[in-house]
Amino acid sequence: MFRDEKTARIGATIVWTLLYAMVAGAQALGYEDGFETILAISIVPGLYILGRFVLTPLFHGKKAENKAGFMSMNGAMIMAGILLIASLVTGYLGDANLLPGDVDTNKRHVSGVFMGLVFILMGNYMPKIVEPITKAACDPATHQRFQRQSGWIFVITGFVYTGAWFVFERETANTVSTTAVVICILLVAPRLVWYGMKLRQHRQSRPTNH
Amino acid sequence: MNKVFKALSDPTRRRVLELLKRGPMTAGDLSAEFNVSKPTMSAHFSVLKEADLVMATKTGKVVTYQLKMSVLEEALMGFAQVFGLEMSGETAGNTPQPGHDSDDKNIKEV
Repeated sequence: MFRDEKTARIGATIVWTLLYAMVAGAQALGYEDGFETILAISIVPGLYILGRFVLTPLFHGKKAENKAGFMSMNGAMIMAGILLIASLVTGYLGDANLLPGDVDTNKRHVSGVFMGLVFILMGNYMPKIVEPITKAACDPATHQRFQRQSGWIFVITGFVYTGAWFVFERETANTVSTTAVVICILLVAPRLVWYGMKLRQHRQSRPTNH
Repeated sequence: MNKVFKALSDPTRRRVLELLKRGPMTAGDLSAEFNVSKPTMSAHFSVLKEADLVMATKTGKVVTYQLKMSVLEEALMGFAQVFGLEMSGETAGNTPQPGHDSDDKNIKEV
């Protein structure tokens, strides 16, 4: 879908704008319940845009090319679209009394299940996004191990998240999924920041490489 | 996905991936771990590259391979190892032609 920097940038902007416009439209029609939904739906393309256009240029330089990034872009867009459609369909079915229970609770469960799937997808592709060995700032073996561990942590978190929203009641699912995400972030984020800083130092010390 | 299954169906290639889990290794170091000819190893590397399971970086004359497996692919490899998934006899029996690196069918079982 997106094969180069320019089309990826244009695609990201269009899809993200469309998503927000659709959510705003649905909210105006009374099918969505506002800020929480916008956050849930835009988190995937939002994270992509943050990573692709803010963090990647910051750590790797403005001309950074990463085919895996474009792959994750496609995946993120598809998941965001599925999440949006699932949320809207649940709303319609609930309004039409075709689903038992509270409409908001049903939508929250559907969003929860799909958010878990997003974690699984992100984690699955995480070890694939590798830098050429010549650009590695720190010990390549350690960096590779970190990527693989992060991928597994995200996938396991995703399964716990999806399972919780699939099996438990809203309150329990909320507690379990939030705990899983907090543990995931605590395990990954500190090392991610450390490697990011090392990569930036490396880039600044060897500007001719980029 | 078919390429991934093909790549993971061979014990030698699975062993290469296992070795690369420790960290990036040069083609020479990897070849030294196996009792097979360099052209055969080169053919194995080509299959792994084609399946996008490894990435090769060339520095001068040295080619370094590093792992590029998704979590699902790693899990598949685990299953393949546990259940001893191997190439079918028909494919494994083909004559190796290392000159045609990218052709999986030309790789002989080692």
